[in-house]
Amino acid sequence: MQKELYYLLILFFTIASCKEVYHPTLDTLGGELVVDAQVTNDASKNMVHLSRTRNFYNNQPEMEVTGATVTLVQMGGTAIKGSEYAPGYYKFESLPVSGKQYYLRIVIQNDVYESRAVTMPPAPVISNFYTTDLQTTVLYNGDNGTHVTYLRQSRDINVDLPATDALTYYRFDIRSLVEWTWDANPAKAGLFPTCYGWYSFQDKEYFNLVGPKDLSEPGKILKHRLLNIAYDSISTAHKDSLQIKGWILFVEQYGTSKESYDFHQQLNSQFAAAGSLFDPIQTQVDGNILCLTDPLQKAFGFFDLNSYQQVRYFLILNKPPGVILLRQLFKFPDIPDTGQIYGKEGEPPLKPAWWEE
Amino acid sequence: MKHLSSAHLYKTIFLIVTILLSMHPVRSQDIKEMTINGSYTKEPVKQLLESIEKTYGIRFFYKDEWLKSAEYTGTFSNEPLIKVMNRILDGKELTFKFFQNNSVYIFPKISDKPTEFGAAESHALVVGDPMNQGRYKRAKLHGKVAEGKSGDPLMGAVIYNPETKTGVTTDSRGRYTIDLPTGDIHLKISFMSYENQYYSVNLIQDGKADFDLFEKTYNIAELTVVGENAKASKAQMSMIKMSSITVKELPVLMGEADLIKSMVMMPGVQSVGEMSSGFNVRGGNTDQNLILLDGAPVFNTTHLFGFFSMINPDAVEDVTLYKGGIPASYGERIASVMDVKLKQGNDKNLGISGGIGLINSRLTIEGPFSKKKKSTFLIGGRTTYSDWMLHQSKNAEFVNSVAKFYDVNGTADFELGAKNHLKIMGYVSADAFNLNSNTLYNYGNTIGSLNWKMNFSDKVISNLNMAYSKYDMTVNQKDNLVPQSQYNLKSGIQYGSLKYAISLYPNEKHRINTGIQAIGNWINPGEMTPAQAVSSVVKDALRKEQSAEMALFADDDFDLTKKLAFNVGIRYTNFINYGPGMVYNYQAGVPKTAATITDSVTYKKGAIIKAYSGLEPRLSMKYNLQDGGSFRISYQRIHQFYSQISNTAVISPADYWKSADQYIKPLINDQIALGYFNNPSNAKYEFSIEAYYKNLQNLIEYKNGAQLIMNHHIETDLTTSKGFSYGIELLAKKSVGRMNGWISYTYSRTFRKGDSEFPEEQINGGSYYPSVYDKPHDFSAVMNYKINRRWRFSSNFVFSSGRPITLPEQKFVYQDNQVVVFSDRNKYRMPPYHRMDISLTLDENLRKKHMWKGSWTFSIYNVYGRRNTYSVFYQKNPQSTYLNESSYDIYKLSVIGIPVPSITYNFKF
Repeated sequence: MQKELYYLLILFFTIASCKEVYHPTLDTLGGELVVDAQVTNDASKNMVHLSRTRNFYNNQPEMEVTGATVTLVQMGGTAIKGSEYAPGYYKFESLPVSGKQYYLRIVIQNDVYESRAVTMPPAPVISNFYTTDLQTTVLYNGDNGTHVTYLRQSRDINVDLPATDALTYYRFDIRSLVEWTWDANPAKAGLFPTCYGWYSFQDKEYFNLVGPKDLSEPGKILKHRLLNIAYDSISTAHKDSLQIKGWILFVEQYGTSKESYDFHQQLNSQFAAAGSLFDPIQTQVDGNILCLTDPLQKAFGFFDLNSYQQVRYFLILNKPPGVILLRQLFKFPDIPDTGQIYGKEGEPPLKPAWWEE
Repeated sequence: MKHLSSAHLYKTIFLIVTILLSMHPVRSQDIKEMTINGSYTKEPVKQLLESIEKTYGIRFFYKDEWLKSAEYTGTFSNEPLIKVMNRILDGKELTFKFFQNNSVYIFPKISDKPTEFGAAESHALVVGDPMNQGRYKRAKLHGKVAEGKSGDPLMGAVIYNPETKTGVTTDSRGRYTIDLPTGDIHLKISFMSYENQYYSVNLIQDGKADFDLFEKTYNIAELTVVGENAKASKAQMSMIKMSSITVKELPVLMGEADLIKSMVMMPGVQSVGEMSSGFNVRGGNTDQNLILLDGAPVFNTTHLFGFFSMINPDAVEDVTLYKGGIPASYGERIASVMDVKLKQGNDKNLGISGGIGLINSRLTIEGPFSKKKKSTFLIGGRTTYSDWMLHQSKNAEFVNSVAKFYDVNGTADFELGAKNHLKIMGYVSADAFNLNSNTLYNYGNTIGSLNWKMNFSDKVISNLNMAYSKYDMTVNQKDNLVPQSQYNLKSGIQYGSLKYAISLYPNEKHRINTGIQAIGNWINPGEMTPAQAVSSVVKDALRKEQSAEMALFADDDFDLTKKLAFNVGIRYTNFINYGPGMVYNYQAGVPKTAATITDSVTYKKGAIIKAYSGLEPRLSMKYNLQDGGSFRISYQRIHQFYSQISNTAVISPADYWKSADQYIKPLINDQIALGYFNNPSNAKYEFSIEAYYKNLQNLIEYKNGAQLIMNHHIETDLTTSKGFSYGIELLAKKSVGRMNGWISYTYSRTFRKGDSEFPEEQINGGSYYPSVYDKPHDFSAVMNYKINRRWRFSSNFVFSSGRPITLPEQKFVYQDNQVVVFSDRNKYRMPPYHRMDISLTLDENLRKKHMWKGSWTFSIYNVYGRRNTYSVFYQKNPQSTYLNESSYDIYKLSVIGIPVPSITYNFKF
């Protein structure tokens, strides 16, 4: 009876409050221009995507804007024309130059849009790329509702960066790819596995940003964390029998402007606003695109002009006191996010050309 | 025969006249006051009277048989005749009257007959020295009316004299004074739900009479007592007064009476949200209300995030809420003043009372310190066992949760002679709350006050108030995945005040109050420290703030005519923000951001950083109408130098206080109100209608995406705005009878408009928009019904418009992420809020003088299980494992979505 009473009272706490989907009547809006312009000094990172906003309840595919005239205009210089290579996607014939000021100009039928002028930053540099050990205590619910703790051992991937008058803001996009193999008959392990496989991880809802507030000392930003990887294969492997062979880290570094930094900070704030008991002030994301022909007409998105470089590293993690291997890679083949390669019966699988060991 | 000379003749005439005059010396003197001398031993009264006749020329009329065997022994030494007569006739069934100022008529006393006023049960009382019987024409009777069993003073009890058809009511300490003709009079003492007491009083001279009243054998719920209060201005309007009895009658969540939730049932007062103890008055923010506990302010009025009020209802005597017409002695907050008076201890007997509920319990002990009963104490406490209940579960979610609080309050009262009264109050509370998350909230209040009332004379009374209040909040962020990122975030505020006020009563028409107040505030806006020895958290602290405020005030409460009364007041307030401190300077012509800081100025300890001052006129007028009602109008201006920085509509423990400085100007409110009130005393029905308009300056608003926590330059995320509010409030009340209650309706609007010079800081393009507290319709209905002698039923229904909210209207894709475009601020509105509660109370025993009194209260909160919306937010669907546009949605959270039954046992002995 006593136990039932306890659970009855605790049940009260769980069922008294509730969260449910809410569909209020919203004004029917949409059709505003969206500019997703990622322009760098690298031809592979050179894209302007034009689309339209949709009403919040509209789950149809986004509407691309085709047939627009897109131009990258250098202040006091020449204009670089853009060409449409896919519906709504445009790229430029040539690349911008560091130190020069540019703005984006878009003409759609009779409407003219322009961005604020942005100075192309100098090429970004990584002073130091290294890993450090990290141990944390994790608490989780085990069987029968009991709580369990275990020691999670992992590795932080860190960089040191220079901070100069010309370049103090950075942004990183990081993909980590885990290489694994699998043997159908481990007891009779041979020279080759049954399968080569790989899987990628990327946090798309968070922008890794660096700015003046991260300065460790004048002119230097030290030990900025890019990501964390656990030693324990359980956290990444799908089967206990998989063998983790290593990690390939794809690190895309952007030298960016304060405006871009602020814009991506706003995006992070909006993505992080998970909603809570106390409803906070929402973060409206302000772009840098204006409509010249009709100032009342809104345009969303951002003209992001950055310098760019990519670095890749191969990483082998073994639990301490095992060896940690970190090796920079200088070839950048295209690697799909995920895949598996099996050999034909009795034959070894074909190891991918980019496979690192 | 000798001829008399002229001189001799004059002398003779003079002598004759003198003799004649001496034979009738009292022709010009009141016979009562004629002084008599003599010493007598077993003198027959008849002979004694004859000697007085001869000596003083007074004639006595009586029947011999009435004085046949009467004798007197005693000495008169210059005693007035009236006193002499009383002494001579003391103990005899004879009385006397003076006649034509030269004679005394002695006759037998007439037995008292029951008057048409007197009840079957009537008490006899003699006030004054019987020897002074008949000496005075009028006398002042004063004393105290108390609850018969507990000795608690009864505020608002009526002392009524039918002969003169006049009456008075007791003040907050149960005291009264009434001016009456001397002689045999009758008094009726009455108080709601208590049995009337009738007294036959032989009022001889000024004197004291205390009365005890006992509860009726059945209870009729008492409603808002709007009786005359010795302190309330004659022209006071926009005021709500509520006794603790009313608070305890209303059904509330988990059977716990809540002072603030009860106030929300009145017109012009709105709840912020479900389970929130913050409240809005006439559209004002929650931080614009000054809540005083015996003169000391309270900075956080909640326990467990709003489930319970921090004010123990058992400790409350009464509460007064000023929505407008705020007296000049109050300032500091622009929307309202809630003045909570705590009870004094029982000055007769030791008493214990309390309640046992499902989640929490309370206990109060009170009594006199000494047998002389000139000093009393009261100490009470509450705590919850919800934390213990959570930990009985084996579910890890609940085991890791924390939900507990306690509070302790105490008062000590001392009568220091007849003219001095000292009251000391202390309060301490602590809360800890964490429901299966990484964040533990700890917060608490420490409050104390000293009130010293000095009666210099009947016309001069002074009151000294010393107050201290401290509020601390700590957030412990625990992320087990990354322990080195764990941190503790602390903030708090300390307040000290010294206030001295003098009340002058030069005559019946005027009451003048004047005084001075000095206030000090010390604010810790935020301090972050790592929670682990090895940590990535850098220790950080925001600049502490210190400020002082000085105020001078004076007002005169007076009757211009029998129908017209005024209260004219003025308050002058001066504020300084002083060092040590540092102030950033920003680039001119552009919005303030961290990037536009040009330099900073450092201020030493004690140096004035910024000062503000202002005059605050207070005016009220009342005009009595023929129908017993009155028309009233008031105007007030108030400055507020402290604001709560909060990015949420409801009170959160993470909110912190900020004082005015170079960039944040003081809030200013100008309010005008007018209304018609029909609430005569002893009336069955009352009605009032009141309208108001408020103009607001220098309101704080938050920029898009404002970061408020640990922000070293908070002024870069704040912007100023102005606003206005208006509304109309209706109240209809039935005070007596088996069924009683009230209905209140308020229509009110409140708007804001950013007044920044920079377009990028404009909110909603610089147009007026609804404030987050704009709720146009608010309706409350309260009903109490006495089923029979033991059972009583209470019910209330509330309805209010939903709070304004900002929602996403459009969406687009940017770098493979869904980004939303929010609407104009506060463009939409949450669903309306409505709820019904009921309660049933059973009194265990009804015997008036039975020591133990217990009652059971069964209540249901939210009878029909309305899922009222607490907050609305935009969130990614938790089930989604990868980006999918349909996985984002709008959600609403309801805190209480089901009927919540509860049972509470209350006791008193």
